[in-house]
Amino acid sequence: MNLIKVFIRLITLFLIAAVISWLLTGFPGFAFAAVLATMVYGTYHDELRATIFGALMGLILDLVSPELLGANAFSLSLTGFIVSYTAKFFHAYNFFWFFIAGATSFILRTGLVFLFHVIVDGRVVITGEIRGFLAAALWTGIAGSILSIFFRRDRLEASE
Amino acid sequence: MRERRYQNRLYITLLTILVLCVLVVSIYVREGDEGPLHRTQARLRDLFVTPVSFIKKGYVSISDWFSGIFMAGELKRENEELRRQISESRRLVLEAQDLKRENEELRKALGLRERFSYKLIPAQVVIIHQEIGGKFYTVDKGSRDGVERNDPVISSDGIFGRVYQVGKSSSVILPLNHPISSVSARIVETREVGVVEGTREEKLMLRLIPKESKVSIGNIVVTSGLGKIFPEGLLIGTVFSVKEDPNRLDKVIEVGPAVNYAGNQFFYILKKEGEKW
Repeated sequence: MNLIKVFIRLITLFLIAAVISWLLTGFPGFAFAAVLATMVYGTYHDELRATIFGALMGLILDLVSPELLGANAFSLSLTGFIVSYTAKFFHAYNFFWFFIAGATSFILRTGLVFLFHVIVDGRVVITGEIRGFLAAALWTGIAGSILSIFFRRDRLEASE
Repeated sequence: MRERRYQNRLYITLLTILVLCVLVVSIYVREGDEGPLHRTQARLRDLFVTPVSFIKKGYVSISDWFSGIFMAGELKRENEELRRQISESRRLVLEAQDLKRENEELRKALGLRERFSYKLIPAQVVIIHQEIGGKFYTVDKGSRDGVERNDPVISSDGIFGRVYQVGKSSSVILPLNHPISSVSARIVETREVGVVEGTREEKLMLRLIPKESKVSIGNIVVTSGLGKIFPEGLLIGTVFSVKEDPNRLDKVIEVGPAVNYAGNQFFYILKKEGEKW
């Protein structure tokens, strides 16, 4: 029963993030959605759950993407762990935290995936990419702030 | 003690996941496109794409219904204009059929091989996956519909890209403006052949056109058919700028693509009939 509840909550979280990123980018930006979902989940749960959740989100992303299988699972499990670990030290679950955590999670996840590409096929960063990358990180931060309205800590605790 | 056990479990899980991921990436890179991990990825993608496609189609129908209510006047005007265009198109089709028949007879008389024939598989974008390297488009048609790897993909305006990965009910399209994408191309006005490459930006680059070329802005660029993936004569775009670089042996030519990469939701996958284009 508990597993079903957790599963439904994860799917809801992912769908809300997908809809928000869809509205922001015009299409379901699954990379944004997965990062946002991992960030929100990591904020409210312990490191172990956040790591496993990040790995699952990454795996979904790896299946949608035609690129390196496993790269997103690696980066998002680490993102989940770091967000959850850091969240313990900042007890400010507000717009500001969600903005910073969203943008940083996106940079961390994309940076790690990019590192995989550099190691595997030696892709080189060009200016245009960095501009787009920073803009995407900013959008993720803004989307994270919007998500904070739906995921208030007190509301989650009351539902536990 | 409990806290310590939790910490141990956490670090073991984290390390296991990370090591597993690195292993999967290594195997994925080393195996070919037909390897087990690639096949599993395509199969699982099919499972994921089917419900997303269903949700997307529902969303499109609802948003179409709302725009129908709020834009009734504009739609009526557009409808009248489209009706006019259809009757004009019918006249052109009749003319074209006559010309085609005439052309076939002349080709036969001259002993030239027949031009390519193909069928079109309509496909709708389900997911656009944006990575730091560029975009990939997942569409709702796969091997079950006859799609194969490297099939050309066109939109109503011109060539869009090619099929990169195929699942049973979905495929991933690599657009022409992706940095790993390239196509053999010909400038219609000068008949010179080069290679069009993706740049991550809106514009494409036309390489290998010699410096003495008379190419100018506005010239039309089409596929040459030499690469064997794309048939000849598909519209790629028009020359946007021509520059000289003293360090290069060829001209630096930017091509403005005929298709709008950002706004496309519907494509046609070209399926050749017979062995050659």
